[in-house]
Amino acid sequence: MAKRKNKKVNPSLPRWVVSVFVAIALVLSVLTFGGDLAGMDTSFLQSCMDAIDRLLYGGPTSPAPSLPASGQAKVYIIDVGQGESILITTEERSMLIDAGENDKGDEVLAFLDTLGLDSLDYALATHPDSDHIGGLDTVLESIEVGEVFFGEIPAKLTPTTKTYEDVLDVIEEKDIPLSLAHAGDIIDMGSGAQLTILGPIDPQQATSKNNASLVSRLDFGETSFLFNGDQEAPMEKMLLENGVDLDCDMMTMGHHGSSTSSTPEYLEAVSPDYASISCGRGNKYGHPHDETIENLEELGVEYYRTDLSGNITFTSDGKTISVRTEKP
Amino acid sequence: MRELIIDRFEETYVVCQTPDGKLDAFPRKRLPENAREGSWLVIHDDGTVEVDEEKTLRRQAINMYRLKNILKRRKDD
Repeated sequence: MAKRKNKKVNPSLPRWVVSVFVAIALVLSVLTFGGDLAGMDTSFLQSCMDAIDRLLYGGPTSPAPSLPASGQAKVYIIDVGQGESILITTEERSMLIDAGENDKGDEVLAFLDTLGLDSLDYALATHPDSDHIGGLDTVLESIEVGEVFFGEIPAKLTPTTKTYEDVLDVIEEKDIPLSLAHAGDIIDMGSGAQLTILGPIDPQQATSKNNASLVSRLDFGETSFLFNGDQEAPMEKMLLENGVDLDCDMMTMGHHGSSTSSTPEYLEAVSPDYASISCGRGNKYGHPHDETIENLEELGVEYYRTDLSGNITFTSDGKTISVRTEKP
Repeated sequence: MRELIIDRFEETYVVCQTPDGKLDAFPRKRLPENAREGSWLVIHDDGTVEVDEEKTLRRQAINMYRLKNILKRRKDD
């Protein structure tokens, strides 16, 4: 399994800032060492060094991500640059939703490795675009996955890329059970959690793979999470018109925060407290779009972006949700 | 002449893959009207782009058949 990469200095910091803080950290470490020898309380000095560590290396803001404790469920938004990958874990089960671009499979595996996960119960591909299923073949090849879910795609949109064929190859080679998921299906995530497929209501109406995205909600105790894939306004409208229960505490912003998704009507129906945006720093598509950010801010939603915060962990104890980010 | 396969559309770009899976993206406006996700494109040396409809349909049929077979095997188990 792939290993974690070494920590790198935050590239957005000017060199002189890095030099100054490295110098301060050196002085602090000498003072801490001396203070410890002299039996003095050095906790304040250590806190200062931790703060410098966060500034220089971008984190962690709290201990490294971990699997859920008893009575918890966790949703991890894995930083895969311009793409999306989400891991859901309860004490009993795990599901990977998408795995980023072709070159991100090893990063997803490294994240699972950090958690100590060497197998997955489920993998769900929201839709077969390369920024969502690109890394899936690597994941499926490297670890045991109990079952894979695809959404239904209209025949005229059948993918013909090597990325898609690579995923089919590994499913065939390893004889991994594959099912098509449809609106109304429920997947038992153990520990009382369940994932319900909400959309697409009518996949044959999709005019792009984005709009054939599997949309699902995770319910755990009184808390709920909505995963939108890349569905855009027409499919959001279909969910609204069909009276689907969209009200959730947390949602992933559709299509990387593009203005083609997350209409004000949809956002209002979900009325999330938290949101995540999976996007790459400086991506050429301008994700997330200004309109999306404005809408979130207008509704007072606490939102996190993978391009700024790195990996994001939402922890539910069944009543409330807490958030941890890799970078400050 | 070279070949590209349309993976998806992103805003004003069309995101493609080479037959061996490398990413390529260029402005959407260069595409012919009949281009869609899954289309096999032929990029001529003079920069003009056309859709190889026959190859597109053949590859789509192969992948549809593959998926159906995988799902059917699961049902039969």
